[in-house]
Amino acid sequence: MNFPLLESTRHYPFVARFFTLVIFLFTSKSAVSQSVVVHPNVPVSEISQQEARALFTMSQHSWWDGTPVVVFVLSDSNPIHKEFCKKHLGMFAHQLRQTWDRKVFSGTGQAPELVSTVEEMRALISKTPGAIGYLPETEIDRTVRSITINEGAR
Amino acid sequence: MTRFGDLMKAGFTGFSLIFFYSQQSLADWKDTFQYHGFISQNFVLTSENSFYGDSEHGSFDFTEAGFNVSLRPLSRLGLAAQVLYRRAGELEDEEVRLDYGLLDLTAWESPDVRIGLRLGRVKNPYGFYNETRDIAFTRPSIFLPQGIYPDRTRNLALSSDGGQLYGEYVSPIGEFSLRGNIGVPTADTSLERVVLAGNQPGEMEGKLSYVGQLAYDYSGGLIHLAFTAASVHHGYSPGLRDSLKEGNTWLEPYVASAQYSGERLTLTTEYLLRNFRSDHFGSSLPDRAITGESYYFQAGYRLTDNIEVMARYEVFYQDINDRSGKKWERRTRGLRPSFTNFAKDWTVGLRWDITPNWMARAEYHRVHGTGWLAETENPDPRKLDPDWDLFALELSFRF
Repeated sequence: MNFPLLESTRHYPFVARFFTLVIFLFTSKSAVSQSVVVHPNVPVSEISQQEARALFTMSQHSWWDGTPVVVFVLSDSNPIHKEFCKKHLGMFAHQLRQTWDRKVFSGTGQAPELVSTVEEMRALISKTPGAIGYLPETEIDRTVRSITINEGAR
Repeated sequence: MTRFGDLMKAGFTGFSLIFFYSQQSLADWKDTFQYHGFISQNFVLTSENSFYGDSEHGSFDFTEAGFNVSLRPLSRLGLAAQVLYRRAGELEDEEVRLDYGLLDLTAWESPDVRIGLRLGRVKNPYGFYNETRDIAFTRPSIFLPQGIYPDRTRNLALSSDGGQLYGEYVSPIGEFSLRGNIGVPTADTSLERVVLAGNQPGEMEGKLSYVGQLAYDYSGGLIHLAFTAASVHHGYSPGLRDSLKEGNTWLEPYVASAQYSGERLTLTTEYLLRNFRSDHFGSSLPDRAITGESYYFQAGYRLTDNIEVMARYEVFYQDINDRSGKKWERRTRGLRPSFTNFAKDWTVGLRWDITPNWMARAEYHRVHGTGWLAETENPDPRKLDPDWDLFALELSFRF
């Protein structure tokens, strides 16, 4: 049996959460932040936050050159995923989940590809044309390309 | 396999060349195949009155299951279909039906604007919850607010056999979307029972109907607003020795919806004004027009990522010119008590997402009035109790 509540308190007791928060607040931003990452052939280097939302909510299906968009995400409860949603999309993981569910179960869209680790995310993005996902900055290598989200653009 | 695959590819290519300028390779279209499904089992217990089966003794007669497939052979062409199984006490017959089956064509796509067309059986955008009302994971509670989303007449405006035109526009202040469905609604016998007082020898058939929704999304769903208007038309084909003539019914609901969805707190409210008229059924069913109203306020709070509590107050009036139901009682010479014309429902509920695939819920309702209960489940209106409690449990699995 799986008891996520007990597990989450075991892995992240209150004190640990507090220290994580303190460390997060006092370390440089780049040390913990993620970047949007794409397959090297994706024809953009910068997108607005609203474009990023359209991509990750599975609303936008193709890049401007016609390549189909393939979205990779970690599980809803993964701290990297939660952090990515909040900081880069300005959304909460549960809002994203709700949007996907409504699309999938009303026939108006599809769910993103779920991966279980950052290594898997990197490997799949590097070999899938049109792929988009996110990685911690320390995990980015030359097999993928990071792009910036321009929050001020719109 | 390959011949069939090649044939499919050729078909899709031809299709795309006819309708669009196809630009991308078809190499990876098979990778876009997805399937999803769900099953929910519910338990319903009421102090008085029946809802979803013999609930006074505890009813398990409420099961929902669905399975869907989708494919995106071209980035501008999507295909999707869902089969739905439902068992709902005496509310409607146990059935397996095609919930939706559609072809989704994107006519225009840019980072700011998307315009497209969906053809086939398309779910109707009505309020916040209609399109995925049977999927427990997407509902805010076990039972949707029954004034706006009545399970008694759920098939009235569930889906359209026809098409949906949609447009989305990303503006500097948020995202706007407009969707319009044109098609024939899927009629069923429950409509006959509600509109024509009992199962009649003839058949109610859906006629050309319209549903439109304008929605606004601020900051990825932090604020969500929607306005729905619809005109749903049905016609009656009399049977043998039928006292009814070829009558028509029109349902014209207007729904205003608003939601705030924060990290922990979600606040939702919806207001419905509903015009209903029927005419030309002959002398045994005089022409009538009635305007009903319903609204609710709902608050949800996530205590943790896995546990959410909710509370809701909902009001439903069958007739805004007779909110107390007294005229109704007089007109029916006491056969239909006043409280059958309205319902006021206090709800509290708890949701536990045990894993991403399993979810459990518990819910308690304190209801005054029986306005949204079905006559098929409560045949004798004099045996109805105006003040009743409802308790329900739900276990749901999805993949």
